[in-house]
Amino acid sequence: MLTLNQIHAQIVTLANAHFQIAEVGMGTIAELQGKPDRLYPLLWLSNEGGSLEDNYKVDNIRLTMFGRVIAGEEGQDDDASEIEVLSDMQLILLDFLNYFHQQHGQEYVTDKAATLEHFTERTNDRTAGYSCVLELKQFYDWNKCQIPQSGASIPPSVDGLTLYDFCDQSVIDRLTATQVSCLEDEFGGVCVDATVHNSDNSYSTTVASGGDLPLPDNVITLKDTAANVLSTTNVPATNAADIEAPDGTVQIYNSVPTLLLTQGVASGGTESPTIGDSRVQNNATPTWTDTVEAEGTLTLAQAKALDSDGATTLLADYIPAADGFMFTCTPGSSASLSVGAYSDAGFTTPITEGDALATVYLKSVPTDFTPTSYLFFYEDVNGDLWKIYHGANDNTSWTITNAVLGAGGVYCIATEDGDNWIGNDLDFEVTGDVDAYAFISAAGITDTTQQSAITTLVLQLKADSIWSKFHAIYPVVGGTASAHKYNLKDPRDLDAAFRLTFSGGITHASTGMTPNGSNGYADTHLIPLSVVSANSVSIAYYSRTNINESSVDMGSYANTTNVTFLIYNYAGVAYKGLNSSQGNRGSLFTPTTGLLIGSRINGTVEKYYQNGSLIDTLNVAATAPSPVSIFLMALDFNGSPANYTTKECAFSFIADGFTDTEAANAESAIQAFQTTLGRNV
Amino acid sequence: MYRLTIEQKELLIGVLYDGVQFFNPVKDINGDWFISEVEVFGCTDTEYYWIRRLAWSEYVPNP
Repeated sequence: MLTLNQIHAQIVTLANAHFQIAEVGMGTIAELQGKPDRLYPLLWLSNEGGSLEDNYKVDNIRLTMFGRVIAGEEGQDDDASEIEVLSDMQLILLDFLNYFHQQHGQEYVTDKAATLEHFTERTNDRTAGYSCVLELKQFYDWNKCQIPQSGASIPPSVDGLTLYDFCDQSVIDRLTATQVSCLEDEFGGVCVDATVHNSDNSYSTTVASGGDLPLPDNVITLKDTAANVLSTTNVPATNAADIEAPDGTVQIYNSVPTLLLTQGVASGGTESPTIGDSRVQNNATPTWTDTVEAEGTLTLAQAKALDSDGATTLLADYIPAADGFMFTCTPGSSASLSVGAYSDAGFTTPITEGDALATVYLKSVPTDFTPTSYLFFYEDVNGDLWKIYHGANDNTSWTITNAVLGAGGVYCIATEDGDNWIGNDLDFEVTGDVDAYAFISAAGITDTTQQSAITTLVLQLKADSIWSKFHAIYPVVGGTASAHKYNLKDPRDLDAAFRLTFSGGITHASTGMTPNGSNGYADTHLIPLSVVSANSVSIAYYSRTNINESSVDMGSYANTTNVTFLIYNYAGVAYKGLNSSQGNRGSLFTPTTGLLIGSRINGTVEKYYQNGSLIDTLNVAATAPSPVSIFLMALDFNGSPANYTTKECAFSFIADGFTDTEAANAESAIQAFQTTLGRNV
Repeated sequence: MYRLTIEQKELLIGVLYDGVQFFNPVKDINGDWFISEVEVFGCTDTEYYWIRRLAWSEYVPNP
């Protein structure tokens, strides 16, 4: 750190070295006034004190340059003269400020702000000048052992290099002409020509010192890889230049060719133009679209034709045509339906005929279509149609009812869409016996065993050629009065058809009808006199009861000479009569069970058969048939029931007279009938 | 058997007791009229259900 004294010493040294300052002094203005023989320009230093700011010490020294306005010109010192002095003083003062601002390696720094205060008419020497405060700021470390530097000389840099720095134009300007000449002599000389060349010496030339050499331009030729000249550019020598290679252009065409894409490509650059996907769609209002990448492949699925149940019936590759994608469907001729009739529910035994009232199992088999509805029907021999089944099932059972016997056909038609029907038929004949069928229908016989038994019976009787001899047949099958009443020969619900009329107490069951022996009987409405001839009559009763009682099992009694009745055993009396007079003759038919047939085939003989055996052959003259109807389970005693029996009746008939063979055949057929029904005795 | 009065017998003459079979009142040896148990309990015609209240009586048939 410089002490105040050292600072003052540097200022004095500088002032002494300044060419224009004639004298330098220090003190107050009063001390200046008291100083004699003052030489001007005079630099006067006044200590203005200082300060300590943190780690800095500040010394304020007022520098005042006094210049004297020339005496003798007193009174004439116009502004021009005084200004001349002020200007000079200001310049000198600025020299000091500049010096200290430049620092010259000193430890202090100065504030570049200073107030230049001028004055005139100062001191008794009539001076003018400028004054400013030089503020020197030094680092101050508050070291109590501050040892001031010794010596008062300014470092050499101050008065040597600084004052004669020829790089400083102000120094040059201050040189005198003599000094300039000396410098030229010392440092000037003749310059030789310069050599100019490029880096590989392919170009070389010389130029005189102080001469001018225009270097030739470089010619830059830009070529592509095919040696085509793209551009030529002159570039001044030694200059750098940007040569712009023109962009390339990529154009992409399709095979038409239609320009698809134009894109610029920087020279030497790389571009990746993208060609959009192609679009594939169906017709003008597309319901389907897809895309395929450029040069890609789109594989179209096969077209399918489906039938209504979703099964694939046709596959076709897509092959476009001018009028559209077409494929030919063959008519669904393969769709078909077969129908079969079977005797069993498992559809294993096919049949082409069935007895009336029998159950037949029908089944259809569709091919190449899936029906949702089936209709089975039968066309009988007369062409009448009988509905069998309509529904979703492909099979059904059919109980042959209402159909006329004969050759007809079973039909089945089916549809899968409700509109289109496919069908087939099967020749089918309803067999059996029309008479049996009529009876079964009238009596409401639903039991197939009973139906079969009846049919077999009728067929057998017809086969034996005795069917036509019967006037009334009462099979007593069905188990109810309403079934038992019908006459197999004429199953109409009429008295004229010899339908039974029941009265009194009769118990009806599947085994037959059992009268109570008190008031139960049946009126056949068949009057022998009206129906049979005197010499030809037969009646039969199938008893399932073995009893010895005074009863008549069936018969008509007009008087003692005109009777037709059957009695197994009238309490030990063998009463008999077939269009004859009443008489106790022949055998008792005991036990009183089984089929008892009495037959007259001429005017002289009556025969009685029990269970197929000829029991009695009696010579009895025929008389006129009874004029009252025949009762079953009692005797029509001249119009009123009498002699009620308790024997369960399981069969009865009234017919013309039978031969032995006919009687045997009848017995055989009836017994087989009973056996079938499980009630034979 | 179930005994009937004369009036009751007249009511049953010509009447079907189950839709198929006719009542058949019979007179016994004593001159009383009867119908059978089958008729009484087999009658399905509600109009004639009164016969169910008939008294059972021994029936002695005519010889």
